[in-house]
Amino acid sequence: MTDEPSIRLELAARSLAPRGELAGVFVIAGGPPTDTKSIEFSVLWRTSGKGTEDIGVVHYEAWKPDDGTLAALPNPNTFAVVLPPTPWSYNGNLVKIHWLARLRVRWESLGRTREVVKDVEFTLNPAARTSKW
Amino acid sequence: MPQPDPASPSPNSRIKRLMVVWFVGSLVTGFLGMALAVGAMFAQAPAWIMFVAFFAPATVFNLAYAAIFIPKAVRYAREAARNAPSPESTAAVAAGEGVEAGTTPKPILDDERGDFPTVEVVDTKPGKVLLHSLPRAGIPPGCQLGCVAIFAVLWNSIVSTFVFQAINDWNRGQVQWGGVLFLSPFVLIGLALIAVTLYLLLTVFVSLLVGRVEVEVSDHPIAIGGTSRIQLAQFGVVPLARVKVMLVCTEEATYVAGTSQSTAKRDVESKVISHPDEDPSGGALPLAAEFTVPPDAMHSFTAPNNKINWTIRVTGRVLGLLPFSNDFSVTVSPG
Repeated sequence: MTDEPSIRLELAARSLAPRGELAGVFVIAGGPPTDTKSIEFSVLWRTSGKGTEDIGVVHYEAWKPDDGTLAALPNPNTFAVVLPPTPWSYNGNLVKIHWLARLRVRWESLGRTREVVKDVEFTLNPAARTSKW
Repeated sequence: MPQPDPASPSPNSRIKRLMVVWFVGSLVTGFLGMALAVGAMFAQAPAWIMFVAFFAPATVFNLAYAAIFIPKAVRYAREAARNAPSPESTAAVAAGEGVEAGTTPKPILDDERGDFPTVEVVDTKPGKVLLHSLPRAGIPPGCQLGCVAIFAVLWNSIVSTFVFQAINDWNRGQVQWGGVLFLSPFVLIGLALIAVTLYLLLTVFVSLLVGRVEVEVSDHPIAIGGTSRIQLAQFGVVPLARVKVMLVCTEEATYVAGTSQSTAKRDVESKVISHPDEDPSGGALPLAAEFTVPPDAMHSFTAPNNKINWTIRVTGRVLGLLPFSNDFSVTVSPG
């Protein structure tokens, strides 16, 4: 896809403590695509493994052209999100819990909605536990 | 910003249109097949021609439909997903509590949210010796027995009709090996159901002999790395002997397989709290002990389809032979 925007999402740290602050920046190279429908930034945990996927979103922000927020989106955009105390990152047999920052860009191209999603994983663990999990 | 073309149908309506095409096509080709089969019958054609005439129109239609419309349907479905609200925007309503991905969650009220999101604290009752009396985990054996016994009776009643028919045929010397072969797996399932029913019957019998077992702890929820005292008592006719007490962590994953929902469970960590070989009384009740939750353990976790549960597992022997096992729910909190 030639018109796919190039996205960079970077975190200041990949290992965080419960109630810690996740800081980082995202950049959309060359700015958002011409017909952008939405840009969504979220911090979430999700499960993987044998069970159906569950997710929990602790931070969600959206910029859209309809409400004028897209025009005000700084590029690059820095963020700082305070994380909750739980759930901790976990790598079990049937259940795994991952934490990630996610940027989702949706735009219109040739009459169809396109999207690109960028995920960056990090871990949420108390210092005493990181050695095992 | 170009405005969407109002004449252009949405992906969802295009998927609906494809389904209507399939439904109408299947109906028409079904009737056509039936007409051709009837025509072949009146023309006294061989049986295989009637068979081909019946299935050919529907088969040709479905093959053509699959080749032309399925790639379109997949494309429309993907587009519909891209036009739908993102999973993150819907899940944000629940403010960090777990929801099944892609479903609409209930908003979580402030008074419903505990100190630790996704850590559901088990309800305890006031204990007689220690502060908290733990609830029993899982479905009681009596309920399990009831469900399995009803299913076993229904299954075996139906299967036995065919088995008696097969036995009658056998006695008349008309053995239909195809039928016997077809019936065998159903008979095996019936036997397995009887075995499970007998096992559950034994479990219920043992539970009746043992009576009520109470597990109490001094602290609840128990923090990771924290210590709690534990007290076990029995109120039943036959004494439970060689009692072993363990703190067990179990992962639980619910998934959809075909049209049914299943739950897989696996013990991933266990710590012995009291072992009969190390207990001066040889594991007799009442029993008092102290235990510490491992400092590198995972906290209790509850999401709609994925769980990490902690339990106190009590096992023992009745009359020196019959095995007994009960789990009691406990919450392990992060701090």
